[in-house]
Amino acid sequence: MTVSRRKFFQQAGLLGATAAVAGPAIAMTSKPGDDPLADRELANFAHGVASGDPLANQVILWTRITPEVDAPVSVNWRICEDVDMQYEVNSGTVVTDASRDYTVKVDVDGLMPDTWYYYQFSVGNVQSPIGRTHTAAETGMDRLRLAVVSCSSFAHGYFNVYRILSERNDLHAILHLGDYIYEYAEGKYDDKDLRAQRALLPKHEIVSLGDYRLRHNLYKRDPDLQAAHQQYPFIVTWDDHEFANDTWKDGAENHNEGEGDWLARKRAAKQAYFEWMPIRQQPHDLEAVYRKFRFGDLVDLMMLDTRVEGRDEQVGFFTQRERNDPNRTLLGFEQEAWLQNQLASSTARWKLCGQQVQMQEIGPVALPDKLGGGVSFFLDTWDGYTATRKRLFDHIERNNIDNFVVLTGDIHSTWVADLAKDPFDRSLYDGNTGEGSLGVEFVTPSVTSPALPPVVGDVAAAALKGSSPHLKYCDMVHRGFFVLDVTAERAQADWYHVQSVDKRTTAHFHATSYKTDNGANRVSEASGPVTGVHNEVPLAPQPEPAAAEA
Amino acid sequence: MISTTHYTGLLAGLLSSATVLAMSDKPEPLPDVDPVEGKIVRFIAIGDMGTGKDGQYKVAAAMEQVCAQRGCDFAIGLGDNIYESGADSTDDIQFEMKFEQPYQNLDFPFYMTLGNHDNSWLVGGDGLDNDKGDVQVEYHYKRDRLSNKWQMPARYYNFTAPKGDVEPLVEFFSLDSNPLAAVSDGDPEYWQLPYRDRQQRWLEVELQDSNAPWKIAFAHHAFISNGKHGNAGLYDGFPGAGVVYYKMLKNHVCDRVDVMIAGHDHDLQWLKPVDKCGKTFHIISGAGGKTRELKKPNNNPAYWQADNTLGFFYIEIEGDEFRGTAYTVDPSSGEVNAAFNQTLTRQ
Repeated sequence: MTVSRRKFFQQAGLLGATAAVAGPAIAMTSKPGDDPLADRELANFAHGVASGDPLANQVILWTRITPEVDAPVSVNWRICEDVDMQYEVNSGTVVTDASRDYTVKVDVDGLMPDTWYYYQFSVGNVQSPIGRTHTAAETGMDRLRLAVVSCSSFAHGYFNVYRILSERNDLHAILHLGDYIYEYAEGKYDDKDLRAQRALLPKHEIVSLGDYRLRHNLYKRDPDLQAAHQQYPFIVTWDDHEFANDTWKDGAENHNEGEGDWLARKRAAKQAYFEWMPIRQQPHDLEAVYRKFRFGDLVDLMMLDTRVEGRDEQVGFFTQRERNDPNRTLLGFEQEAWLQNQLASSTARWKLCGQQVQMQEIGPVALPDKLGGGVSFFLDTWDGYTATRKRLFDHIERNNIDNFVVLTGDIHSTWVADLAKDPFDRSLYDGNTGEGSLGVEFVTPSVTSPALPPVVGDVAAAALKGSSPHLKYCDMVHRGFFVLDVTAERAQADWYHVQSVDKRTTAHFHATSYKTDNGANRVSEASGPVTGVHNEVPLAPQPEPAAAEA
Repeated sequence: MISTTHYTGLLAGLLSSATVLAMSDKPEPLPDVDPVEGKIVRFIAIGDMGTGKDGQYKVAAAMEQVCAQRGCDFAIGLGDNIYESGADSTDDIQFEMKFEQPYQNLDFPFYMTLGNHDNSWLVGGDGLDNDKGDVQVEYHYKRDRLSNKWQMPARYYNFTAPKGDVEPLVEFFSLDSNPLAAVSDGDPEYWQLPYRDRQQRWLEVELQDSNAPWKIAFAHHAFISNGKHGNAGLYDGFPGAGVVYYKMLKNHVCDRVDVMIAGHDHDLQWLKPVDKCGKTFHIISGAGGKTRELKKPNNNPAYWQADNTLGFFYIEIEGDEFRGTAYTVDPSSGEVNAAFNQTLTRQ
């Protein structure tokens, strides 16, 4: 960590209230000469609008300009109480330019807690679609509803999950637990039948800043992703594929010498991420994404970075005894101390952690710790860093921390589990009663990234379930999402699976529902999904797709 | 290898749908919602229209006339959108000839559902290739189409009216009847029992979630009909034909929605509620392009029915009132006639 790097990120950070430079107006379509996408017609605000990181009186607004010429552009923004954009609450002008890839990010303040807002950007007389966002509650809050998603590989199919979420009007925000983009080259990790429809940009593996920017640029042009961003604030964290497969703090499985310096690549990936994602940079560390959100007295949400902040290198399968080494860390000791402090000092009813890799112990050949712990095939998860997990679970136990709920992505499948210190030891954890459980973990399936085929996936899930007393549900075949519905009495997750990602369709169905009751610290099956909850304000109007001249 | 996989998949599908059936024999009653005053929803129901021929144009002209007089928010299209065998791709000129051009003077959304002719393989109407129906879903998402009228975000879907209202008056459920009502498709994606399982899981949650006082289901295949195809479970006189579909309607749709609207038979029928389907009443509007005689006019008790005519239903919902008008359109002269008018109250 050098001063110049921090300074760089500071400059690349939020656009300040600098003097407005009159930028050239942008035309209805543009084909910048040096843009590698020049063969595609890019309408203005072609990357949609987005919001994120809601606080009680602040929220991040985001968009991107496609300039006609490479010169700074002044962008106006407004935020209003109503969908007709009549009752303005705040407005302003910011300038963007090539130094931040023409992305626009505003941290709007002066907002009321637990309130819906509509916002819009404009350049000259060209207006963006209207977006909708919601602030967090300061106190109180009877119910919080979050959709939880992860693993959205563009090249593996259509973002039907995002489209479905954009049409629901019963959420407060969308949590994306990472693998929002993927770094691979065309043909390395995709559905070959969709290669034409879901062609990647750039075609090669992304390594440089320009590459990472272009890949983000491609993703943000997806209409289904835009629709989800348009309706709800996102709370995001990154996983490995925002960098390279199986990232750790000083390297990645999918990074080699020929691709240059890892630190330079990591820096490029981070810069593009902060430019292109509606995330707020943290004053204590402009490069960190671990941070806390408060939703009244109901929920404290800690978003973690188990990936690049402090993770030691994964151990190999045959050297896996080292996974128990107390000196190895998944979070980095600074983040670990922060998390433990947050948990101990939280006064909220529920303590949620949004994070990447599975915290639960994973079978099917695990053993009680007293018998050596058995073998793990999942050395990229918390199973590969058992000391970090043990310290966290000891902390929860010692401080009698109740209502610890972990929300996890990364694994492209649905899992519901009790979190226990040694779930394979019957004297320490009882799978029937949940005795010995300290918290629960809800794992969300992928948006598009591949799951296992039927039969194979069903057999694998059955094997894991049969051998793991703490694992209550496992589906390794379907893509989808879950909706977390939190009240004072319980936190319930309703899983929905999508019919297909090979074609665009909103067809989906309810898969299963589990909850954890207040003070129970273990999961139980819910009788059915939560229904009948509706937001009191309308969705932002969908932009009409361009129709051809009749 | 492939056949083993399919066989196992079928077994898994059978097992899972068996558990769902066991669970869903008696679905939870739906919450009752009071209508909010001052809202009105006006729409047209047309079916079996996609011929691209004179009949379709005559009906379109009649719709234009009625909408100019009375106002239309949207139309629902009850399937057989593209005769005889559906569309081959989103660039298929049939989308222009059999949809965009006939309705070019009507500027409102058409919420479409799939019919047997939209999913046909060897013979027009066989309903054996459901992948073809997916082309019509794809058309919903097509950029640069001639108009943005065509709405079909999925093979089955729901929407509320008035559009964008947080307290809607009506919620519509477009059902995908063909995979369940026709002879089973060979493609595992559409095998009847797992497909019904998924569809009714979706339907059940959406019905429970609905905050609209009026609920209307629509599909190509009817639950009951006095036309050529007859009642579900005994379609075209074959015992068991459409029985998978019948069970889904009986368990999850009947007595839970206020109205079931269908096409398939090329006539106009407004049928009374029948015991096996509770409060739900039935409308058949399959005369949007073709005509036929009623085969068994006394099969089910009707408020009104007409055959050998083109036409459609115009429906206006306000508060607890359902005001319907059947418009007949003369196949030769194109003359439009408000043949029947009736107001029913929400039960």
